[in-house]
Amino acid sequence: MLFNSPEFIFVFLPAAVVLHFLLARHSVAAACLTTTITSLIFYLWWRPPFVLLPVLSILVNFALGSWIVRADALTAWRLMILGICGNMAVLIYFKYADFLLSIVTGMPVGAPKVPLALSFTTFVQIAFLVDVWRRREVGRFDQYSMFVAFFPHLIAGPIVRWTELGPQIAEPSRYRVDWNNVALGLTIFLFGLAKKMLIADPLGEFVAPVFDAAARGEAVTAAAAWGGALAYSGQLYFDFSGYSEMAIGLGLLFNLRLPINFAAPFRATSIVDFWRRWHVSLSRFLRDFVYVPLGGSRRGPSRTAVNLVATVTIGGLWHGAGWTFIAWGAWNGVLLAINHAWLQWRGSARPTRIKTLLSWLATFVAFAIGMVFFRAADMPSAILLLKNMAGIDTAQPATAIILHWDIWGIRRGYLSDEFIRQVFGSTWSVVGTVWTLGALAIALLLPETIEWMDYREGEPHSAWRRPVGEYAWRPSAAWLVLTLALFTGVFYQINRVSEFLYYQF
Amino acid sequence: MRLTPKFYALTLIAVCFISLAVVVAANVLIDPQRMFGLELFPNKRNENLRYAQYLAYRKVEPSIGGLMFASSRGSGIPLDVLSARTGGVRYADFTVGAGMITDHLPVLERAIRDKAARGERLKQVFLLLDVDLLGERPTTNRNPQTQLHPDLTGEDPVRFWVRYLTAIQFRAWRDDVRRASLPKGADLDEPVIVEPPLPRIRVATLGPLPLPIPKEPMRVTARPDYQRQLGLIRRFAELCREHGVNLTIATSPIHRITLSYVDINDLMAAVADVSGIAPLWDFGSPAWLSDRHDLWADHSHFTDEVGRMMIERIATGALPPGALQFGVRRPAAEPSATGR
Repeated sequence: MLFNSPEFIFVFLPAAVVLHFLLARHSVAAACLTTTITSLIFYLWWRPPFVLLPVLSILVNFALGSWIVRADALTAWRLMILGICGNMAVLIYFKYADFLLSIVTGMPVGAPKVPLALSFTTFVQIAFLVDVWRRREVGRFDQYSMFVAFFPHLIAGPIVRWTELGPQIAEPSRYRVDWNNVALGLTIFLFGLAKKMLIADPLGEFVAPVFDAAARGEAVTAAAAWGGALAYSGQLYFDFSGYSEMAIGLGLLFNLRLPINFAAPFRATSIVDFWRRWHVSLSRFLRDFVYVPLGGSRRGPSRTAVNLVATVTIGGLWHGAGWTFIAWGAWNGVLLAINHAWLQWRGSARPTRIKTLLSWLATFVAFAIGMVFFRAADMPSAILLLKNMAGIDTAQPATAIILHWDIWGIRRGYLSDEFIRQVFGSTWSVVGTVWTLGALAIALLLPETIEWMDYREGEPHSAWRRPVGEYAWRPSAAWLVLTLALFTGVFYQINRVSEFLYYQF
Repeated sequence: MRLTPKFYALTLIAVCFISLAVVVAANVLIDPQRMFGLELFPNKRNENLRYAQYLAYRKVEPSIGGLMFASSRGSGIPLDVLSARTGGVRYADFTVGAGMITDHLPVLERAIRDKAARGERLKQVFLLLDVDLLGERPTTNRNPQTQLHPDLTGEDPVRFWVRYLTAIQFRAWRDDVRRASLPKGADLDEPVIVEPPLPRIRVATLGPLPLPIPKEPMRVTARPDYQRQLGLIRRFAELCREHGVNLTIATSPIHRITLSYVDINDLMAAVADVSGIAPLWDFGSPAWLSDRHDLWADHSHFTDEVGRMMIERIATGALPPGALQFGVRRPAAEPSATGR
């Protein structure tokens, strides 16, 4: 079931919330277990037999956690390591076995059928075991099961930690309806839904012809290659940040505050800053569970650079079993290492406005180039697109306009078909350009939803925020009208359900 | 104006559910795709024929020995004549607006599987291909009226029905209601829909159609979906071969106006590609046929008379009276360079 489907919005969600609070009147444990069960129903909607996986994961990891609490120091450490390896083994089996086999045998394999949410729950469970080992406290089973299975974050995060969500679940005052949270949660949910359905999905339409052509080995024009890369950057941002906001909104309906996952990343003026703002919960996990154990920045600049590249490459591999994801991770790792070296060399001198603008441009362009690896079907098509972006081996002008978006403008004489065929070829359009620039302007110039709403849970740092002053959200007639206007736009599209991009990871 | 959080939240929830209720009620009562069967507004233009034909087929499935697949151009093929010329086999009609191989293959797969489960087999399949439209983006499953039955797609039936309950289709609702108030036999002024490449049916929810603006004639074999559709035709032919089904593939005759949209040499290459998969009857674009206005409903759709001529040509080899050329049987041939 998808957050943006009518059956979720109008049937599942109201039923799950009402059931949770009705049962909470009688017993907190019953409410937790019921929400666990409704979350598993939400999961099994996708492919019923696979529900065994989260169920077993919950049972086994809780048993391990309980054991760790009771064991002596050495045994507890061994059990934690065993738990981490066990969780990783399941992930590797489902997600990477075919890829590893293809490396060994040299035979190409198709995309593996990875159980939904496996990548995210694996990280949640690893963080849980480490937190339990550190604190020697495991909590109650009903609360833990709700923590893992809680449907707002189950499928695609944010990657929550037991130390931040566990205490909230344990707090009895959160089991009464709080209309402040309901009003705020519904508003954030609808803003996230609008990001997904009104911006990300239309951008995806423009992205597909460019990357599909590259997947067929066909060159595109330089403008089309750049258009595709920029549009996909926008699509991924609006899709995933929209999803994360919907998750936050849903959490608030249950009086639980999930952490922020996006902090206006397109406003970042360095790649280091960017990764503090993009998929914050993953960056945080990789920092705490990969980068720091590797030695972090404690062993000199060279080792720091190696650790950075290794950490982000692992982050890339986490997204999918393929060379394109490894290349994407390595690309960002190298950029981070260069950025750190630059920061050390330059010191803390305050940059001028021009330098800030250039830094922003370099950061954004570097990210968009990386997105080519992220979206491309395979390495040859990624390389082809990168060459086309550099103006090498680009496509010849198209003989006819195939995409339908510009036809309206051409027929009325607003657009030149000659120009479109020469510059954009058969895979990109003027309308796509306008949409992409518009979407990027929204991401860059307007405050994030969580800035409007003044939502600060799990904030990476506060420096990124822009003051919204009197425009900040409050339950007022103006905000109600604006939210209903967004709902109208979303509702018009509601039966065109499309999957979230991060569901594939 | 400041509101209480409770009022704010309840208003939001109420508006959401009222909107849903209105849309569901409109879809069930007006029923533009004829899915719910109330028939309060019987004169429809957006009926889901793909769904209706599949349901109709399932009702009489044991008595069916043949399947007829075509786009709206296939409405010129008289099934009674086809049946009479193929041993009296009873045909199920899968002629649908903008029908393409993406619509036909799932039906064939399902029909063969059902027959095989009962120890029976299909006898005849007639596939009318619009070679000039091959490789165009299919409309299959893109709109409420082109959605295939969940039996054919494996889609979750809940999702399938939710889509019909929640589709916001103002124009279709309005037109169906207005049609109901018209005198019998009258209809709304509707724009003439020009092919190629897409459907004769009015599509209220489709959005802009991908009409190409050719600077020079369109190359069929260069279309983005061309290779994939060839692959589906190959699968279609293989299925028939594997299950002993007598497959007849014919290309629909093309009027010279329609022909002017495409590169003729490239069209020939596309025909060669299809004949590389299975033998086919190529009805091309004979000049005498384009000259006979009485044989065309419009410059894309031929009449029943032409359909009869085609069946006679295929079954007996007879040419239409006075015609020197009509329909060439192309045996399985080497595909063109693009079709390999």
